[in-house]
Amino acid sequence: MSSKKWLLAFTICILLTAAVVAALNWVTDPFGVFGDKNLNWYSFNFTNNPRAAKIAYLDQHADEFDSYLIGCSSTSSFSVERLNKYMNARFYNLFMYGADTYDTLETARYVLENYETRNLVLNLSILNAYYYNYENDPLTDSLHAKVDGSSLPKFYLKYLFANPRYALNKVDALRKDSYLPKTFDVFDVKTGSYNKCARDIEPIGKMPAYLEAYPVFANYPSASYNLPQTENCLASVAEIKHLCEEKGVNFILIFSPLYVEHASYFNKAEVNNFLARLAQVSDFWDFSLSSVSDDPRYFYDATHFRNCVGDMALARIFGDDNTYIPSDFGVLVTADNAAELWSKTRSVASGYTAQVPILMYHHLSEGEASSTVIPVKTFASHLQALQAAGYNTISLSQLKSFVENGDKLPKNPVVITFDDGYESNYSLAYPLLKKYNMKATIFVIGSSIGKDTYKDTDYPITPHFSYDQAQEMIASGLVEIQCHTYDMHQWQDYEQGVARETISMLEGESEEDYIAGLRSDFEIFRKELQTNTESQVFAFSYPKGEYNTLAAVLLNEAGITVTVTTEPGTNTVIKGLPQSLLGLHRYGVNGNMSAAELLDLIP
Amino acid sequence: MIYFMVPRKIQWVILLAASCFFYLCSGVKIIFFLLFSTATTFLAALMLGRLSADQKLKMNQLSSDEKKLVNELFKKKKRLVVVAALLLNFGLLFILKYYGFVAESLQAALSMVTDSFSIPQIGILLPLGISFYIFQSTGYVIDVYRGKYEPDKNPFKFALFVWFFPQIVQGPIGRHDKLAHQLYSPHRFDADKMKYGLQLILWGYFKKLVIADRAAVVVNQIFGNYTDYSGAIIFFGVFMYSIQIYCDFSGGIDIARGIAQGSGIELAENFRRPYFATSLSDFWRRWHITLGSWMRDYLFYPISLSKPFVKLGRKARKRFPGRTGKILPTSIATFIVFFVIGLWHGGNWKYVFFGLYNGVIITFSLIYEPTYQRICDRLHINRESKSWYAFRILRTLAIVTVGRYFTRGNDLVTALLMIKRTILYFGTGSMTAATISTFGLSNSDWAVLIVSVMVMIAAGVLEERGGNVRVELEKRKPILQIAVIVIAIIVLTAFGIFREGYIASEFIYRQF
Amino acid sequence: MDKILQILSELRPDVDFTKVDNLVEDEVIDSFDLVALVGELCDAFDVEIGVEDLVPENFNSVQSIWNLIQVIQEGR
Repeated sequence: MSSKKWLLAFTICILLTAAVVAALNWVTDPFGVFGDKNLNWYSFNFTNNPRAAKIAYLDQHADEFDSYLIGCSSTSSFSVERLNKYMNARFYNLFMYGADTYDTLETARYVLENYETRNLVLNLSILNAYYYNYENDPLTDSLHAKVDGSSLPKFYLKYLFANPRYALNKVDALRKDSYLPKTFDVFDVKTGSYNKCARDIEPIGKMPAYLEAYPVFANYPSASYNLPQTENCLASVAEIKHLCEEKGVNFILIFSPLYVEHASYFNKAEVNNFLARLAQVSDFWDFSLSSVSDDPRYFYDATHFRNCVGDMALARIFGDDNTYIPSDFGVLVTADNAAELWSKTRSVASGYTAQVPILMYHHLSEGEASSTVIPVKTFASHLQALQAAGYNTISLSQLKSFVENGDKLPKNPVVITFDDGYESNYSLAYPLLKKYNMKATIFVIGSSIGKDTYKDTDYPITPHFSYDQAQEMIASGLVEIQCHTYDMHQWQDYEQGVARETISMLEGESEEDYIAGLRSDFEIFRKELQTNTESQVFAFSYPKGEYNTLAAVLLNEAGITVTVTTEPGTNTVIKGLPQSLLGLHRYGVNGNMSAAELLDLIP
Repeated sequence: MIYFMVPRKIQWVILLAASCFFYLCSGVKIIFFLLFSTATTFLAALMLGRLSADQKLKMNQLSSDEKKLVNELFKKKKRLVVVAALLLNFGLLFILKYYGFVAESLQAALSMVTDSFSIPQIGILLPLGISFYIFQSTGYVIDVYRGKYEPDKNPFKFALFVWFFPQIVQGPIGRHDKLAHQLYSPHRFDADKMKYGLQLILWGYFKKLVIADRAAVVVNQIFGNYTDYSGAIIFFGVFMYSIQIYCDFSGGIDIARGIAQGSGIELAENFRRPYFATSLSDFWRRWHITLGSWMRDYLFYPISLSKPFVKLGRKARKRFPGRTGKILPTSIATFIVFFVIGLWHGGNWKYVFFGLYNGVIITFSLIYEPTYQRICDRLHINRESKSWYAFRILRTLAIVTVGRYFTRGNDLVTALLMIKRTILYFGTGSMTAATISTFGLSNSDWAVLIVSVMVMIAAGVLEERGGNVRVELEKRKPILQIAVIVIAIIVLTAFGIFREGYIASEFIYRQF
Repeated sequence: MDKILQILSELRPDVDFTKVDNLVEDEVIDSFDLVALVGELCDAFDVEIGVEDLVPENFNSVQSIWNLIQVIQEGR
């Protein structure tokens, strides 16, 4: 082959390769800049580059929204739903991870000029005064050309000839996609926020366990930062405010919560100066330092506060009395009270956590004891002993309102629970509860309520109480009936096919089927309980204590805010942190356990 | 392309313009240093040329007695010029590259005596390729001084010689007599050369992007966390670094040579399959050849042939008749050269140590060569056999690899600690799948890396045997040649070119 | 010439210097050999060989070495 032909072949190959890359990027559109018509997977696109993809998405959906949240990644923790409720608006969370004030200003400008806007909420983090117009990766961190006014053809060419790995990854990710967010699709497209469904159901309780799970807080890296971009940041905020005023848009400015050790990176005087000058630019809500800052459990990682903290912040701004808010959390800063914000002495928070042991009983009998069968006399002695020792039984509702609304709990609280819903709970335990005026929660299996034979068969089983009996107990105010699945706690011996003994996924079951099965099981339970007893389901006892992230997420979505396991241990519940109500530990009470042994068991 | 379209006479102007453009893109500051170095060496060479011309003129008019006197006078003048030019250029290099190192070392030494004196620190970023063009332009001055050739009269042409953009980042260090006329003379478009150039570029990118960038991941992981790994793995990491540095450096050189070749310009060869070297001195003749020959011509020879050394040589030969006497002065010169090569790598004690390490081994191998031969004879080793050849290659590779502990380790202490760990906690059993997975490469990346290294070794073996991959390819059917192009481009696209512009989402997600 | 041959053979007994004529460029002798050779030559012929003379062309064969020495001896 002559050299000329070789060169020709070479040139053709190069052109062909370029064409293939361009076609691949066009079709899969891993950054969503070409409209992503084929895969329509914006959660993935947002993850690759929220700056470009969110704008590309909103260009198509701007009519669905009338208000926007802007800022860096911590902005994700402000709930769009809450804002919609408080402000009667339709918010979209237009935050971009790693956004500096330059990104935010340009985004605000674009939004105000192109979308019909009523409200603009700007969340400012302290790092906004640290870096500005930061040099970024051209593919993953660049603003949309429409936003920063750079050349559109160049912008599209850049993504047309982007690394094909992104395209291939998108195809590959499509295969690995799951209901739960994975590293490649961490956004909730409908709201624009991070999809934190899986992270927000991680049980959180005792501090040592938390520090083990989040070692960054156990050994927080030390550093020292200046705020060199104070001027640029202030100028940009002023510009955003000015743009809002021009368009008659309601502008809200938030200075976001900080973990105390992260706050220590910054020079107090410098921050005081920054905040004082910020107040000259605009009134703002300061959440930066409060008792929340002192407890790492309110933070996802070194620099990001949890969604529940965002909820408390919004509740403070909009005066929502139904949500727990620490008294020192959040203050409206105006030019009058802006001096020395970070130099004020802070009180040490106390009383926002509680230690709560939970006891787990099953069946009671008038006869012999066994590991799960408690003689009624023993049960009576347990109740007496608890009372004598100064324990106060509380319902799970009380526990829930302690966490969610900050309501008080009695001293030495303890929770008594029964699993499965045996008739003995009604006939033997309930009278004793009434006698000692003590509270309990019974987790019933929906399909076996009122039955003494296994469902759809004649196999005799331990009898279960009926809805009427349940209603009678509920009416007493001492007993709550909650969920132990409708029919996901089956007995293999009595089932035809493979029994579903727990809520775990069956072997070979598709994710789709599993989700549908779990949802409908719970839905049937909820409806039946509601029609028969008028009580709401908010607590769930995992059969055999087994559960997985997906199940926990689905239950959370269905309104379950308290879940209990069979893992022994005391629980630490924390005000304002709903995750402290999840995966609660319970001490299984053995039939042969004396009252003294029981008291030894619980702290 | 433009290069071939303009009139042939001004082709070199295009090259100069392209080079200027290249520097403008990489920052304005560098141009200042370039101009300084180019101007001083150009003027020095011009002065030397004028002095030589004067000298000749005068010589013809004088008697032989006066000749000697005038000769001496001119020699002195010329030396003054050359020393001034060298001082200016290496002074600049020294300030930029070594000031921090020297200041720190001095400070440390001073601090033992007094605390009150502090040497100021200056922070200057090293301009692109500075040592390469300083070496290239000073080599030129010295050659003119030695009368090897006439100085360049046109400052712009000379600027092109120094600034020619493909070679600026990491060489090769060109010689004026080999390179300059190629740059100035016109070139016709030549499909063969363009093809060769493109092939060389592809090969260079293959080594750089497909192999070196992958190996770098492993190397960074192991060197960054060497305390987590056993000695065997540290050694493996250093070995991977040998692969990385070779592929990165020689790949870069291939790309530079390929670009030049496309416009008909041959740059000097810088690597000749160094890992097939049979001894450490052989290695240094194959590795970074243009630096080695620079050091030889402008450092080793002048030192060895300087008066004190010649005297020393005579004395040594008298005092130690036989080998040692002959070798002693050469060894000292070798030491100095390697000391300088070590320093050239950067201002850090580890490089000094690296230089000394090489010097010691080469000297010892020179001194003990007869002993060595005797041992071989005693053991009845056939020194022509293939296995002996293979053994020598592996031995050299091992020696070179040990040297890399110093060049890649964070500092001298770290390098020594790593060597200690390699020896004391070797633990061969630790190369498990679990350990390998901590290195940061996926299975497919490993496969790509291993296959690519094997392809490179195969090409190396072929060329060692006197073959030529390019010629072999040309013998094949067109369809096969096209297949090679297609495979090369696919490999580069899929595993190479785009690697740099890719960030895995895990990394983005640190903050999530 | 014989003197040169003798020096060369002492230096590198493994090479037959009468037959090769590309000593430096083919890397038959390396820079160490070259320096040692120059030292010996200076002693043997009482000449001064400078750095500028250390170019491959001057040392590629016994003949070229002989030529070099003669040029130097004649005082250039």
